[in-house]
Amino acid sequence: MALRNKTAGRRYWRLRTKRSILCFLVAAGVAGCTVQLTAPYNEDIDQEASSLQTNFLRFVANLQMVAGTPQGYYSQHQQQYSDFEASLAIIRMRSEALPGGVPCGHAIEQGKKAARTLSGSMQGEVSTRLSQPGLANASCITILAIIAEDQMERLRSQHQRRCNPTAPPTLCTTLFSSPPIFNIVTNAQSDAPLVSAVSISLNELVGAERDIKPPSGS
Amino acid sequence: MSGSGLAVAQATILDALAHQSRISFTGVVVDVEQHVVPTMAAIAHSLVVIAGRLADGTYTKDIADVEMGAQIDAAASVIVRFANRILKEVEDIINAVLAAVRQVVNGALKAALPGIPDLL
Repeated sequence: MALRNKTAGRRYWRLRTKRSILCFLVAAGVAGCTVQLTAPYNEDIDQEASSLQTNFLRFVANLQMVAGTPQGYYSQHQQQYSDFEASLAIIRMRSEALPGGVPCGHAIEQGKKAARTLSGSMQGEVSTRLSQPGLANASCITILAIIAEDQMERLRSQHQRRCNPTAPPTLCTTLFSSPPIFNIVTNAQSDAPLVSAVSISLNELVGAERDIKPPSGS
Repeated sequence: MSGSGLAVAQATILDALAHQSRISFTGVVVDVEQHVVPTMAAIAHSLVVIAGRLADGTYTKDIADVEMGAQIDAAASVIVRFANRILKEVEDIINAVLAAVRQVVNGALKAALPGIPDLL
């Protein structure tokens, strides 16, 4: 008797589970819903970031020619940093205003696995950087814009400090290295670590926006 | 829906899941090999350059610290973009399954009530 009750009970729960799954699927289908985990693609951000990347690489290519001479002094190039930082502020503001998506921090835990290609202490420092307040609830695009802003400010302050009449010219030439610009962006042989790092951060920002771009025609 | 109808519906949804997962995760693997690893290698090279310049006296400790911080941020950028990519792929998979469910529901409704237009 007890065995028969147990079997009937199992059958009842199996049927109930199947019905629940069916109800969920029908409800999901009837609602016609789609999920949005990333921030929505924004053409303005895409164009602003691409244009910033192009202008930055032109700027660096030019500075590679004049670093170590008076034409490379920070005072000659101050305006360009204002333009770069203004572009990044625009990207960040537009990204922060976008609705939808889940906080990037939830996915970063998975993404950190990519850091396995880094050596020990560096991996810990990257984790610490990504755990800073203000980054946890932002979208991935906003976080990338914040990082790019910090990188650009680093470069601006180093340019100011290292490329001026009182600093040894070698400090300026090691900041920008020598041509071609190709070495900084495409292979692992860059002798301008800071410019290379800024270039990587901008490239990731542009790439992340492209990654969420809907296929043309959809 | 009949038993065979349910089996077809289940197969349709599973096909959608498997197809989109294959596309998504193949793309992620290619991205890791062709983009993430080479970029991390570039960062590692930069770390070596910074250490060398600190050792030979070209850089002061302050300059080395700033450039080191920039490498950490560059690595963080790579990881954040990768996380964004994973989110997008998961989103695509879930949406592919939901589209398959819509297709199944529309098919079932048409069979039950012939002549009605698609509801979804």
